[in-house]
Formats: sequence, C-alpha cells, structure tokens
Amino acid sequence: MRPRLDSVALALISLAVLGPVTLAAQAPIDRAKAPVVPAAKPLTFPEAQSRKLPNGIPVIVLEDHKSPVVSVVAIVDVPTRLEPAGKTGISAVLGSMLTEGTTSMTADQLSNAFADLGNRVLPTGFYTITPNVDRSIALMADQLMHPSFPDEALTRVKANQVVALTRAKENPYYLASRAFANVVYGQDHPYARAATEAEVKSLTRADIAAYYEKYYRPPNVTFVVGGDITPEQAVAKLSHAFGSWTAGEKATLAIAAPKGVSSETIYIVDRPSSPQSVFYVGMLGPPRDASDFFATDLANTTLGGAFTSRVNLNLREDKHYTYGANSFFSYRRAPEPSTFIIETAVSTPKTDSSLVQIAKELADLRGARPVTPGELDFARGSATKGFPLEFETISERAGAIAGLIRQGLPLDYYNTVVQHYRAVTQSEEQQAAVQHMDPSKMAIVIVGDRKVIEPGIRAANIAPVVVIDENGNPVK
Amino acid sequence: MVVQPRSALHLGPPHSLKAVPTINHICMRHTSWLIRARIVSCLALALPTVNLVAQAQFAVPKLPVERYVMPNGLTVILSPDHSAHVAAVDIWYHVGSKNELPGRTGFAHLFEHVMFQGSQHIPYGVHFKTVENAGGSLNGSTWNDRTNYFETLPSNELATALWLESDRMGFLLPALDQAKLDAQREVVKNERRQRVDNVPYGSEDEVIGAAMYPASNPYSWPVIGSMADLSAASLNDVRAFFSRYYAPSNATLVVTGDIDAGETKQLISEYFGPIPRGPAITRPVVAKVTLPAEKRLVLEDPRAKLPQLTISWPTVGNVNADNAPLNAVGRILTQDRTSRLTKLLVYDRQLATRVSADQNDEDSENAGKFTINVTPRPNASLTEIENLIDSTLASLSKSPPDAKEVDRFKNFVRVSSVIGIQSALGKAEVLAEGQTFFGDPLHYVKETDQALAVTPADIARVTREYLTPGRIVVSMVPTGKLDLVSKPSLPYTNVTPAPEAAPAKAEK
Repeated sequence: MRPRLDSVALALISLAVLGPVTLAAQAPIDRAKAPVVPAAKPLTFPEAQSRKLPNGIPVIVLEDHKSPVVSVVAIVDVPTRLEPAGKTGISAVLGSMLTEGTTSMTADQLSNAFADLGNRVLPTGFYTITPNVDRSIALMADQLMHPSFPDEALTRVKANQVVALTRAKENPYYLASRAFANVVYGQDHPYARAATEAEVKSLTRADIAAYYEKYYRPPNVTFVVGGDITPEQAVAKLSHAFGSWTAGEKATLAIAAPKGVSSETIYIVDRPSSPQSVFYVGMLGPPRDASDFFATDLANTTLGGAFTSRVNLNLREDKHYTYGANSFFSYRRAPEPSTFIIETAVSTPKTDSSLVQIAKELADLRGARPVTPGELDFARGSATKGFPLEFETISERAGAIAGLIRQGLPLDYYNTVVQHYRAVTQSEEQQAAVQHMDPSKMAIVIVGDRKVIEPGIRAANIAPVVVIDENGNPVK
Repeated sequence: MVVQPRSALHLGPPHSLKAVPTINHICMRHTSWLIRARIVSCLALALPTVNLVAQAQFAVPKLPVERYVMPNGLTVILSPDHSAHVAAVDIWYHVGSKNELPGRTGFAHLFEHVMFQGSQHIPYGVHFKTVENAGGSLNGSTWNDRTNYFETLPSNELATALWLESDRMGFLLPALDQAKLDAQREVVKNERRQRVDNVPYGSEDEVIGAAMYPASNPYSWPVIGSMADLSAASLNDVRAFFSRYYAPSNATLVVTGDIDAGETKQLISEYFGPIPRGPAITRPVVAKVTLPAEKRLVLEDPRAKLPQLTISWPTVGNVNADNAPLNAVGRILTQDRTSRLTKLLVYDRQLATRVSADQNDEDSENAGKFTINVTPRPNASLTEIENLIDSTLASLSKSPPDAKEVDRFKNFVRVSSVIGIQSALGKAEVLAEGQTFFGDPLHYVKETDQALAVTPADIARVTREYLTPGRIVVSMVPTGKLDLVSKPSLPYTNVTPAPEAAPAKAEK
C-alpha cells in the first residue's frame, strides 16, 4: 500500500502554510433566496484568423498561447451522401485505409513514429504539445497525400467493417435511426442509404483509389489550427507539408429533396425481448440558413433541448417512464433540409402511455399550452449565457469553428448570435414550433418487443400503425 | 493519468442546448465505429530515434492548488485559472456502492438522484432550472467508492453553485418525501434497463463481479443495483444514509476556473460554514481477493448476433503500488497495432476486430481487476483466441519486455499529462479524486511519475503474480449458440439472467 496522508495532518500543514482562514463575522445568509451575482463578464468569441496556402487551401487559426498545446484539424468536406449507389460505405472504408500506410511508410512504421512523439496522428488531425507539431504535420500530410492502400489491409478493413454492420444491428438506437431514415427520406434517397454487407464486400482497391483521387483534393479541404501557434507559423508549416498537393474537383452535391412524411404514421420495428422501447419521433426540418433558425432553436429548448424541457419533465420527472427524453434539430449544410427528432427509451409496459404523452406534448405546444414568456426567457438564457462554457478549451474553440465551416456559416457568426437570440419574440418562437414540430408530418418509430407493445399502440389510436424492418420494408 | 471510471452512473444523460453540428444521428454510415476502431489501434512503438519528448527534463505540469480544512471538516481545494470565464464546482463525497448493505444494492446511486429533488430552501426543480438558465451544465455521478455533484457555470455565477450545493449538503431531509423517492426509484430502474438490460451482454460486468468476490464483499454487486433492492429502498434508508455520509467532514469541495480565491473562501464560509460536522465513519474493509481456480461462465443474449470473450483476473485497487505496472501490462498488450495481443489477434491471425486489456478501468479504491476483452470475427474460434491470449501472457511472464516496448506507452503518458486536463471541470475532477482517495489533490503528478518509473522487470513480475489461472473466463454467445463457447468441453456455469421482460411485467 502506498502511504496515505492523514487528513488531520493535512489540516495542520495547510494552516501552517496559509495561516488561519479568518473571515469577517456576518449575518447568516438567506438561503431561500438565490444569491445576487455580479454581471456576466463580456462574452468573447474565438477570434478566427483566415489565411490561405499557396495552393488555395484555407487555414483558419485560433491563436492562444496559454498552454503549450496545438490542435490541427483537416476538414475534408466530402459528405457521405456523395457515395455512388452500390458503393455505400466507401467513405468509411477509405477513411480507415488512409491509416494503413503510405508510399514511404508502412502502417507499423507510422505507429512507431507516433510512439516517438507520444501522440497519435490521424490523417485528419492531431492534438499535441508544441514541440511535436512539425513532425505531426509531416505524418498527417503523408497519410492524407500519399496513401498506399495495401491489398491485404483492404481485405481486413472490409471484413472488420462487415462485423461492425452486424454488431450495429444489435443496437436498438441503430435500428431506430435506420428505420426512421427509410420512412422519412424514402428508401432510395441518399440520406437513407446505409452500407450493406454485399456493398462493402464488393469494394475494390480501384474503387477506393478512384474515390480518393477524385475528392481528397485541396478544393475540398480546410485546415483549422488552434493553440500555441501564430498564423504565420501555421501557414509556413502547412505550406511546407501540403504545398505540393494539387487541385482537383470540388465536391458538389445535387440531391433531390427527400420525400418527408405525408401523414403521421407509427412504425413498429420488432426487437423481441427488449425491456425498453426506443422512440425516434420526427420530421424533415428547415435548412440551416432559414430566417427562423434562432426561433426554431429556442422552440426546441422549450420542447426537448434541456433537462427542464417539456418532454423530459413529463416522461422522466412526472411519469418516470424513462431515464431521459430529449429533442434536437440535426443540420446539414444549407440548402439541404435538417431533421427534427424526439428521442427516448421507455420501459416496455409504458410504451403506449409514452406514445400518448409525446403526442400530447406536441399537440399542447401548438394548441392548449403555447410557449410562455417564462419559457422564452429560459430558452434565451440557456442559449446565450453558456457561450463561455462552449469556448472554454482549445479543442472546443477549434471544434466550434470547424462546425461553422462544415455548415457553410461565416467565421464571424458568433459575433451576432446573442443579438439574434435576444431578438426572437414569443410569437416567433411559437410560430417556429407550430411550423417545424408538426405531428401531421411526423414519423413515429418505435423499436421494441412487438408482441408486448403492439396491442397498446394500436389501442391508443394516435395514428395508423405499420410494422416494418429497419430497412423500411413492411413486415406481416 | 487519473482515469475516470469508464461507466460511472449519472443523474441523467447530458443534454445539449445547442444545434447539433453533425448529422451522425441520422446518416449513420458506420463511419464512427470504424474510425473509433482505427483510433484504438493507431498507437505506437518506440524506435531508437530522436525522442521528441525530452525524457530527462520532463516534469508533469502541476496545477496551482490552495487547500484548507474548515472547522466542520470540509476539505476545500481552490485552483484558479483565468483563461476562460468559467468556474466549476465539484463536490466529492467519500461514499459509494461500497458503503451499501446486501439487500440495498444500488442505494448510493438512487440516493444521488434524490439529491436533485430539492432541499429545505430550494424547492424541487429550481436546481436544474437555475443552472440551465444561467447557461451552465450540471450532473452527478456514483461509483464504487465515491459520489460527486458538479456544476460548470459562467464564472460570475459561482455563488449560485455554492448556494445550490450547500443547501442539499445541509438541508436535504426537511424536503424529503415518499413521492420523490418513488419517482427516482422508477427513473433509476429505467436507467438500469437502458444501461444494462437492453444492451447485448449488458450484464457482463455484473456476472464477473458476482463471480470474483464473495457475496459479502461490496464490490460483488453492481453500482446500479438490482431491481428487487431498488424496490426495497425506504425513506428511512435515505434518512440514515444522508445523516451518516452526507456531511462536510466526508466531503471535498473543489472550485476551479475563473475565481478570486479570497471571495471564493468568503462565499464558501458563508454557505458551508454553518453545516455541522458528521459522525465518524467506519469504512468497509474490502480485502484483495484471489481465486483458487479458474471459473468459466457462459452468458447468452437473444439480441446478440456475434459472440464476445472476456477474461478477468482479480488484482489491486488504485491505492496499491502494483496498479501502475499492471496498467503498463495492459498498454504493452493492446495499446497500438504493434502491441503484442493486438498484433497477434487483430493483424497477424485476424481472429478479432478489436481487443482491449485494462487494469482497474473502473478505478476502484481497494481492489481491482485486470480485464481482457475480445470482439471476435464471425467465424473465429473463442477457444483459439483464449489459447493465444494464454501463450502471450506466458511469454510476458517468463521474460521481461524490451525496454523500448515499455517506452512506447511512457511517451504517451508524458504528452497526455500536458494536453489531458484542459477544462475547469476536468481539473476539478482530478484534484477531487486525489484528495478523496490519497489525501493529496496533486496525486495525479505522483501517479504519472509512477507510470514513468515502471520497469520491464515490474511488468514481468506482475504478469506472473496476478495473471494466474485463478481467473474468470466469460464466453458470451447469442442465445442457443453454445457450440461457440470457448473450450466447451470444460465445465462452465451458465449465468444468463432471467428474461428482461420479467422485471418490467412485475412492475405493472
């Protein structure tokens, strides 16, 4: 056993060092009242400095010398929705193959090089101490620009990917997300496609190399660099490593709008002997550049974005059907639509009761219990006061900037975000709720033990009931 | 580095108020699984080249710490850092499922939930609403040996967090009633369903704990508890537990981030000073265990599609000097693609998609376990995998690893000690853990030094000493596929729990 310091001895030590803590005598505090706190310090947002490499790759730098750490991320903006039909899953296999060796280093040699540093380097980035930056950038560039795609690695990566597909089907949340995508987007829509075992097995080295050559090119890349580094240093180091990368094709998406849901429908996916039923309830949502984005975000907070939101207070705190219920809008880059989802897992015998309560919350928000001034105030507070937490660390700041780039938003987005939230009125929040949380356009996917839950779901008479598999195909 | 328990139970799943920046929730194309697998196996092997982490000069960065003990026994640790306008308040109570009694398993965690239901001066609901409205985040967590409660807030709201935490430390019971307990009992039962009962092979840790420790040993039962014991918990249990364990003298209060030390001390004195000291606590003695012989278990799951194999040995807790070399054994076996077991099973023989080896990953105080977990390829033989694990361990116990092999993980330890603790809450957690278990908030520095001091001979010795035939082998197979069990001709115990539907129905 290691020696452990006695707490009494510690107290003596600290008294000796600090001197006794003497405090002015005072009247006891009134515990029933929240303390009066000082005004919040002014919000400061990450100052993003934009540069460009000679070959046109944008470099966004968040300079911060408080710690000797640096984060470098390469955003390769090649959405999986670009995958050609019949080759779904190629992005994941390619992503893995980029780590399997370069034209000058085997994967084992790369691994040795990471150990020399003490930090791993992915093809798309790393987070390390300042002295390791140059070598890490070189290893990152080698993987991103000169992959060798060895055949024996491809065989292994594909086999492991097939296992991952099989294991995913054990997971009720995966089944719910697959079924939801199929019924909301349409089975053939690119948003709904997911790799199949046959597709993964059919991928060839030539497929991987062609996809890589086409899209892993400077027009689709942005670097986000954060931490103990100046913009000039970042540009010099990245130019040195990536300067020879030649231009290619800009990835462009031309995807027809998904079909959405024409009328509210309940879809049951059978997962025998499940002690809980997993719910995905939702619809297509507005694009990220919609003028009512901020009102929509506040409406989501009222319904399900926070612990004290309506669905969680109802399903968890009041009814105790679940450990948690929440909702969110998941955004793609505009003009593509977003997706709105309410998600929860409830005990099997309470499946129909939970369905009734979710339907009630959606109906109440647009009818009997519209957004209150208190709810608007709460949603605004939580949306605007928490920015210091969101930008606390270098990783978080770099992640926030990467999120802006992925969604095609301007780098000064955060400078005006607080005033946008403050400008939202109660009627605007209410209108966003009515428009974007409309049960008549929602699919209700429930993954659970069909023989136990189906009678109650039908008896609840909320909407027509269809039994499907996770691929969206009807089941008798 | 200080490792947080992989699976500490929380009051609730984290909620995010902000727009989700990715679309992985919907368009899951398995990228995340594959990338994660790559990250796990993309670690390293030291070559005799330039070592960029200057080993001779390296010193683990030390957080600034001011510590004092208040007259009522509350240990306070302040660690200012003004790099962001954020403050974290983190209270650790030195109580966990270890302090429960048989028949009341899961109680420490259920109690943690009750702590969020309001106190004498702060009605139900105010706690959550106040923190979320201020843009803060909050949660609590319970594990074997400790329970904690924390808030991260914009730094001007520091007093708010101290107000909330002090009221439930001092004044919980006047606001307690049966309805609050019953409500959280059902929430926790759903937490159990979500974490254990509805997860393929979700009871793996429970069956290992039950087989490793005698029933009287508090590490033998799961932190989440059993449905029957959760049903049995009474208001009197809550009152007794609070009176015994929830007092300043059994707690460490850590405040980090953008704080002024003088003002913070004043606030702490006002809010926590009047709370009386608690009774002296007799902590359970949890003896290190050994198994006289191998125990072979089989766990079936109707929702699983592929088998899994886990081998687990009783070892030491985090306060034992052998914790560090045992942790090094885990790194030597599975840290990266050239590590011994990963190389053999995932790359050379391709019998598995993933293998992990970890010492005491639950971060238990008094006794731990060393666990190897394998995710096999679909047609791989669990028997062959088990034999290869055994030969790998035999080799490591016979001859110490090459010094370069040991240096592999040390470089990662050095860099991680610099980049690892960045957030105010992350710092508070490390300081609170050190104080609670070791009486030293800066224990993480010692722990890093201990990891860096491990020798090849230490590694061979602990492999011989702990990774012995006295172990538990769990074959996990889809229901009915008993032909997939490792070494099926050896006797085994089938520990498959009763169907999940049973507790759910009983509740109706």
